[in-house]
Amino acid sequence: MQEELELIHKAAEGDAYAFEELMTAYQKQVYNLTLRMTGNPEDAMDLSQEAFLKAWRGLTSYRFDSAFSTWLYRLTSNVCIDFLRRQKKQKTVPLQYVNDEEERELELPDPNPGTEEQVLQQMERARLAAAMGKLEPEYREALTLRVIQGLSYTEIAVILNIKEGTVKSRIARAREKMRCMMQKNGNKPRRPSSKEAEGRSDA
Amino acid sequence: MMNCEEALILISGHIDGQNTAEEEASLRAHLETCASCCDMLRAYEELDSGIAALEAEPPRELIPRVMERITEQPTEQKHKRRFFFGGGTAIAAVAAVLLLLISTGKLPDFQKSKTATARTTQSDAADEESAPKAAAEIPMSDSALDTPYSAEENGAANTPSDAAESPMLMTAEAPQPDTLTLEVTDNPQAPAETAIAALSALTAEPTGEDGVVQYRTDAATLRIIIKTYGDAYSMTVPEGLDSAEDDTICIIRIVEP
Repeated sequence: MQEELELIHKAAEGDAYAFEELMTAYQKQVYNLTLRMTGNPEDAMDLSQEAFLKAWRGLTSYRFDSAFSTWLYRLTSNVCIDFLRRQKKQKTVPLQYVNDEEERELELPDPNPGTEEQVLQQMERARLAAAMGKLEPEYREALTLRVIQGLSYTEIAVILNIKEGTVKSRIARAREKMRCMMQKNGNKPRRPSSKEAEGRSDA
Repeated sequence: MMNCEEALILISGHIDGQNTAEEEASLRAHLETCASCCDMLRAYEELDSGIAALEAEPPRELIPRVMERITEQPTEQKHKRRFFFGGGTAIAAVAAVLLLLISTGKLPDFQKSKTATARTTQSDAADEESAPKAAAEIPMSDSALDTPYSAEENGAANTPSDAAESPMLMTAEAPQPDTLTLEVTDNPQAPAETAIAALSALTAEPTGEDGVVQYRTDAATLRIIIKTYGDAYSMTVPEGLDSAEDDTICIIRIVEP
């Protein structure tokens, strides 16, 4: 924590290499948020860069009143929201299209084609990714921050600037929507049999 | 008694470990009597592990690419030493290119008298005008010069301890409506930013527009660029350039075709 504070101070004074270390620590978080929000790796890459550049330029405005990660997440979240807004204005590309790209990405030939189990897992991942992409941005974002980034309701509330109660209900609703979508698309039964549940417990 | 709809929110909260003790107790009571909600709990847990598995590793080029842009662009911050680290080599490269062009007679005839004067960093007011990074000898007419440019490549010479603001303040503001703007359509085969030597000494400003970068320079430079490269690139010359003073601030926009 102390080290991080030092890095932030140095970076705020223009030390690019200190900033590089900060990026190394947070690139996974930033990237995964942008990936889920955009639905495809290319846009995620662009937005991640944009977020980090904004962070670099805006470091002097970081007031140390929240955790650095919170500040960075919020910045990244805003970059994503702006992007989605622009996309909406520019073209009527349905989110479906965006997620097809990722599905294709995930289906790219594996060097080791693997077992049927692995193929099924890949397909499942693709379906999940597509379903997430179909969620409205505010649900998608809350769910991502909770389940993928592992943030608490409190942290999420600060990042998204909403009440904790809203975070809780948003996530619950997002989960329910996801469950319905996954049910519809696949041939998964509504009630997973205990046998099936065991077989899929690997992540 | 809780209904299933309310239970769903608590199930979600339970998975996240964010229920109060009271809520947990209510939930437990409900689950004891409701098989369908038990299924929901299992379904949500499975969903969660699936979503968590979507986590991806960021591409390896992410950080390097950001670093590229950070170290070539100036910041508005006080400490300039790191910035000039990258600058020294750029200045050397540009100087070399220019010398080559001069010696092979490719550049238009212009005064070379202004070299070698170490460029003192004046205070900010003049800096708007003297935006170019000042390694290249940029052709100027006699009258216009306030701050002579230096062909020095020594990075140290550019970091006097009393340097106030960097003249390359990246303001990234939109050009004023009446600023003369030259719009150049880029050619991917021969990128303008590389081909037009004068640009190498300037600092690109982001515009917020996709595929567009802009540079700030003066009318004299603009005229020379138009004269020299007007055939190589499609350009939109601003009205009023002819009558503008040499030191009038202008904008060059490079637009992807």
